Amino acid sequence: MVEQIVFYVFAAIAILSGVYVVASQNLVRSVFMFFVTLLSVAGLYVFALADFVALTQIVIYVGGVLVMLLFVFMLSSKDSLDNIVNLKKEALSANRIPATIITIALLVILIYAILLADFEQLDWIKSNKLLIEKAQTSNVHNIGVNIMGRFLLPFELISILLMMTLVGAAHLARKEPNND
Amino acid sequence: MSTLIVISILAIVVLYLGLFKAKQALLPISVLGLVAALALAIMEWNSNAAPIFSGMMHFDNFAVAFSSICIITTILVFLLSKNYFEKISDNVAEYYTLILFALSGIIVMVSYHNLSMLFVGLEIMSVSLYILAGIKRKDFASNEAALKYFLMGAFSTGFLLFGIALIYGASKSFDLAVIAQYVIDRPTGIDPIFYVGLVLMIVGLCFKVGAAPFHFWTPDVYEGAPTLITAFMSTVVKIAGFAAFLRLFSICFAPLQDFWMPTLLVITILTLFVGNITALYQTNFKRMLAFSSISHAGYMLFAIVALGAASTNAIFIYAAAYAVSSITAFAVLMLVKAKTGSENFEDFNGLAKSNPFLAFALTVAMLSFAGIPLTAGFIGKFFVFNAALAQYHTWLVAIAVVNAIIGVFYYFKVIVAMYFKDNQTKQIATPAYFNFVLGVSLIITLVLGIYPSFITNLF
Repeated sequence: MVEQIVFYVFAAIAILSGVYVVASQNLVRSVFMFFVTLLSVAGLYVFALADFVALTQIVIYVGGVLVMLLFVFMLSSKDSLDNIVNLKKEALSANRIPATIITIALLVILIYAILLADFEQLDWIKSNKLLIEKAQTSNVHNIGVNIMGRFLLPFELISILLMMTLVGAAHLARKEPNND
Repeated sequence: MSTLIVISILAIVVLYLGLFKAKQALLPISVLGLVAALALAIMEWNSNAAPIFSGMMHFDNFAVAFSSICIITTILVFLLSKNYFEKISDNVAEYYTLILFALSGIIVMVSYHNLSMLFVGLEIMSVSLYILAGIKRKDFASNEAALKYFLMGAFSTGFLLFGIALIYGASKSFDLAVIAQYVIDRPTGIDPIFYVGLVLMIVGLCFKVGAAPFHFWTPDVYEGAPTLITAFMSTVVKIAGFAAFLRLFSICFAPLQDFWMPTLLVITILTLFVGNITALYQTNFKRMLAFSSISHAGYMLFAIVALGAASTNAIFIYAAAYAVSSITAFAVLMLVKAKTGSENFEDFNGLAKSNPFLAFALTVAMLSFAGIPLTAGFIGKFFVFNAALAQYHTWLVAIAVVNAIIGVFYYFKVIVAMYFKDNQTKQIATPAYFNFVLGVSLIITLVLGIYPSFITNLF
């Protein structure tokens, strides 16, 4: 019972702060509210017994991405931020109609799926329910074994992805002589 | 597997060559390495490979065929790149490295046996393309292309990932064989989230191959990116996208054809009409090629709509024909642009008088695009339509034929410009590499057109 109350509190915080992030006219406030969204989602991950994911969520998003967003605000000029605020005035301008259609379509599809899906009846969820007591201790252990075992090849391929991103970023950011 | 290793290591070797300022060695070593990778890939033919690395990768004949065609096309693109990147920047090794990394992602995309591999391969390919589209840093159009491609690509990746997650939610596996078994075990009563995942995956993949209504990024990105990168994107990347698409659907989702076929049918028809009708109004040759690539995506989707035993063969032939013709078209475009500085149809005026060989090669490529007999494009269209007719999609083929006729109109525009309009232009000097690439493409187009059984009986 207590778990359910805590879950709904976290979920409500996540949704409400998420709505504020999107709806707010002030970008800085949006970013700070985004902290709240991410932390409450991390709380939800803990409830789903995914403590490792919760931890990476906090380290990567809160610690890395959001801090970088704040740096963007500090380094960019105030004028460029004001222009963004000026952009959004009418509720249904031509810019927004395609985005509105796509998001509503996605929302309808997902709600349809959630309403129809019977998550309790999925075979693997039934079988995993029996194992829940075990799972609490071996989560990180399991992830490590799987990455080094079954998912070794994708794990190695991600090193190619990171290497390539590094080369590309270094190349795009390189200072070149202004000869033309 | 050895192909993938060779290409990944080759990329790093090329990077080191750049570090030691061995500029002259870049192109020969890249091409030699790719030839070695090609040979290793072909040696796997009919070796009855089993999935390796706990079912992550399956280098079957499908993977061999599509990686070979991607490697060959990349070699042709590399041969065109002689002296091309040098004009953009002094540091050219990075460009070769990025293209090679993209190719390694593509090898993963055509040989995956696990959805996590599909995702990682797709990301390796896409991220390197975002960078490659923006390598002309001082060119505004190139910057715009990179940013647009990046935003749209990230968006579509989100859809794809959502789809993969939902399919995992229903079947508890990323492995293609397990998902296929899940579908077969349940003739009725597949969980609804599986269907939603399937739809989201269709959306994500259609974004990547540039099918309507998810094609909006294509014209701007193709026009803004450097021409050589556009050539790479519209050939190798598109073929890899279709190979991944086909692999997923033929292995996992074939029994659910009744469910996804109508969706894909609508997308196909829309893609054909949008691509062809918009291409009619273009005055810029490069933009016309971008829209024509959308319409060719529509023809290739045909073979997936009519999924069956013949689909792999049909897509393979169509892709081969499309790749060589595109390479020719982009090669001639690069030469004309270097001469005149713009890419409009008028720039091709009088090309037949000044450069008969270029004009002839481009004419054959355009005829092949349009699907005129005795060229490879005709055989490609023939097999794709044949696959569709085998499943009684008669009126769908009728629509496609109407579109092919529309296509003839705008492909002939450039032929008319070259042969029947006069312009006092001097001869364009064609480097030997270009003549070689054009000659090879020309021979492949004609040989496949006249004697197609070279590759029609592969599968």
